[in-house]
Amino acid sequence: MTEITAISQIDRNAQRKRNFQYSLFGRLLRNPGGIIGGLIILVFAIIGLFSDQLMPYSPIKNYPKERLQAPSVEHPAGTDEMGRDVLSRLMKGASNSMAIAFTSVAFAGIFGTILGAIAGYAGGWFDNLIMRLMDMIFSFPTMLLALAIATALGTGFLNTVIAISIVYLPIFSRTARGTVLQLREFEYVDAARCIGAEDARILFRHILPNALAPLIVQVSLGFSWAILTESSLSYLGLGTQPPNPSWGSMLSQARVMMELAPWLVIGPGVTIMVAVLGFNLLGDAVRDLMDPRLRSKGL
Amino acid sequence: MKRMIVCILLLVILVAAAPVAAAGDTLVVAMAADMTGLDPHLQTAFTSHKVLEMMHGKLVEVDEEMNVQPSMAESWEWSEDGMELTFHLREGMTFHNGTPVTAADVKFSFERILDEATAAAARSKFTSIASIEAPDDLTAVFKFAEKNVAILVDMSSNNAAILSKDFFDNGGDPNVESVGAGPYKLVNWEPDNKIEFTAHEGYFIEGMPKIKNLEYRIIPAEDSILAGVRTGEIDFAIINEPATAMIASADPSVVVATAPSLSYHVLQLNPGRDVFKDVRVRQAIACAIDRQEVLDVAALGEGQVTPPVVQPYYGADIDSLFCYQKDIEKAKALLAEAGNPEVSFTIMAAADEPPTAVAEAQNIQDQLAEIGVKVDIEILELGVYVERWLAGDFDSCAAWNGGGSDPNGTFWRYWHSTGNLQKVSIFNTPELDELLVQGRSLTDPAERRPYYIEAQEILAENAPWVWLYVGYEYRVMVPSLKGFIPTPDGSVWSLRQVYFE
Repeated sequence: MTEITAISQIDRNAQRKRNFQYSLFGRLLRNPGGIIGGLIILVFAIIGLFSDQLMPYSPIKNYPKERLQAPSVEHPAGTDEMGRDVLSRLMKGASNSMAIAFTSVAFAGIFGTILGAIAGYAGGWFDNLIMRLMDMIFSFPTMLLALAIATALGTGFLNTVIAISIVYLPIFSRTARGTVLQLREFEYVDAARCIGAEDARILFRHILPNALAPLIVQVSLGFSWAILTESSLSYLGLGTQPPNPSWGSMLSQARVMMELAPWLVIGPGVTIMVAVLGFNLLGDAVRDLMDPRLRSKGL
Repeated sequence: MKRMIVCILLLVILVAAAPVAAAGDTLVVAMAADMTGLDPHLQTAFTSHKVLEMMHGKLVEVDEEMNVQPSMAESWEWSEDGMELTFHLREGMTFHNGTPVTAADVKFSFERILDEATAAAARSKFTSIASIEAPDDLTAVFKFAEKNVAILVDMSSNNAAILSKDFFDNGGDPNVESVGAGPYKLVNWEPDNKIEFTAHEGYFIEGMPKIKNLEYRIIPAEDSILAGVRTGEIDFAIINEPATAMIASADPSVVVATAPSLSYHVLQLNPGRDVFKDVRVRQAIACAIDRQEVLDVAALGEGQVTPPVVQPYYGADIDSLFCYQKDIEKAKALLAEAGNPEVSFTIMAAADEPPTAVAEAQNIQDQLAEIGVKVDIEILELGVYVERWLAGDFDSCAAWNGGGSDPNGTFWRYWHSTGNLQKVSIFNTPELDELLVQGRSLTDPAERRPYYIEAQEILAENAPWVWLYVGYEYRVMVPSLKGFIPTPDGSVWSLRQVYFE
């Protein structure tokens, strides 16, 4: 009796291990790009979440006597024209940028998916209406549209989030709609309908969970776009407002100082590059794993 | 391979030929912000004036030492009692559209400025004018209701440009079309991009302008402007950003002309707003700000802390003025006395004029945090900023205001109860009125000085504004451009006489 339990325990452990190995996360850990990307994002996330505890100096307080100091032991990334520690500002900027990126991708992801899923499931005039609206948004160059919305709404956290979300809405709704269009023809959907399930239940309990894979890919790539867009908006003075630091606005303020104090440009520039690279690596890895053609190659 | 060589050769030829074709007869000027409108009597932004002075003629002008010089008026004389001023105009002057300039145009222009319906920027400077007569085509006689000897300097402003009566009689709109008597006539204005001019053939100074075509390019980033001068694509640049000017000064391939500026950086508090109604709150703000720190941080120390009057002779000794030394204890005591422990307000700043405004606002925000005052910063585009500034629609603003060569011009419009910018300053007292009237009716600088010193003491004590500093004027140009004369009032009038060597 005890022997059998032990064996089944071993079986279950092996099963769990196998499950993990074939789960998304497990497979991700075996992709070098995914690991590097994941680590980078983890570091940024920790810095962003705990920036207030980790910052060596205040990112806002002016120290006029220490202005424009080159990188040193006390100030590893130097100080700006107001004597503020650039490293601290980059850390606070991580917090601001990540907050905006996360919120806007969440907004765009949730609303875009719901709209796209309903459009795909309902079809007909509703589908047409929603998708033509999305086409309209999609037909503008993303940066231009984000700029126009941010200019119209004004600056501030919420307005920046709205601007970025609207711009990326079509990507999520199109992805969701495409997948739902395929899935709604499946037999299990017919089966659900036969036992009398309502449309909402079919869509959100049966179809959507199966449509998540391509959306997860879009979300992970969406972060890098959102960070870039936020930086661009702030660079143009429409995103995060001073004295609150953002990578983009730091870069924009430092531009005139480029020759006097190059570290003011290098710091935020490299930071934006690394953050975007991290999200892209992770996004690519997730996409590869989700691709059934690549999955069969033993991954 | 062969094709590639041909391609490269073609490219080289194209690149080499392009500037050669244009050099010599076009002067390319670059600045960071565009003018805000065409009507010279209405514009207040500095950038507008730098364009307007190319298009419009004035009765008189000031030279680099701020002395009044003849311009459209060949000569002038005051009556014995100082109540009448007669101008003799040059002969044969014409407007851009070819019509001759007569004394009737002078009369018309000043009557337009004085007409309240025009809402002219400089109206209050000329309210002492009782009437203008034009006895013949070349003589204009100004009669005064009260003595105002400073008026000649005011007449050198672009806000006192002579416009064509004929143009207005025929229904011309000065906001759409520009008909002036200045050295260049407007050909094309693409807002926020470029302004093109061609020489006015009938310009009243013989042989001017020396360069046939003039083009202003609006390039919002001053570092890009400097890059343009370095490559020779831009001949002359108006630079306000001290960091860019410092980089340019260190570069032997460009020439930098620097002049001390008469334009002052100031934190305007709005006594009309509830938060600043109590003088003690305003005083506390003034006491809590280290002005040298603002200058160091925002302008890299390029400038000087200034008393309320920027003209050096009339400026008060800053150590004698109220709270020109930072005094945190006093500031806290004043706030406590005012019984308003939670002061918070918004500083409005324009994004590009001056480029230091946002940095000033941030530093002031930081300094005021020391006495527990909470400051928000609102950054606006210049056009919106000017509109709200003129309407007095702000708690406070990081402003950059112009000072002429005479303290009357700097003070009257803000601080006399009839000043046309009272809406912006929202502060006056009977004593101040009296001092300013005295100041402008006297001719001897030594006699005038005490009145202005006292006015500055009153202003510093009441702290409607916190005067910060004056910077420098920078003009960066290619070495082959000769003949430019820098002036402390920021004028670029001498562009009409520059030439390439």
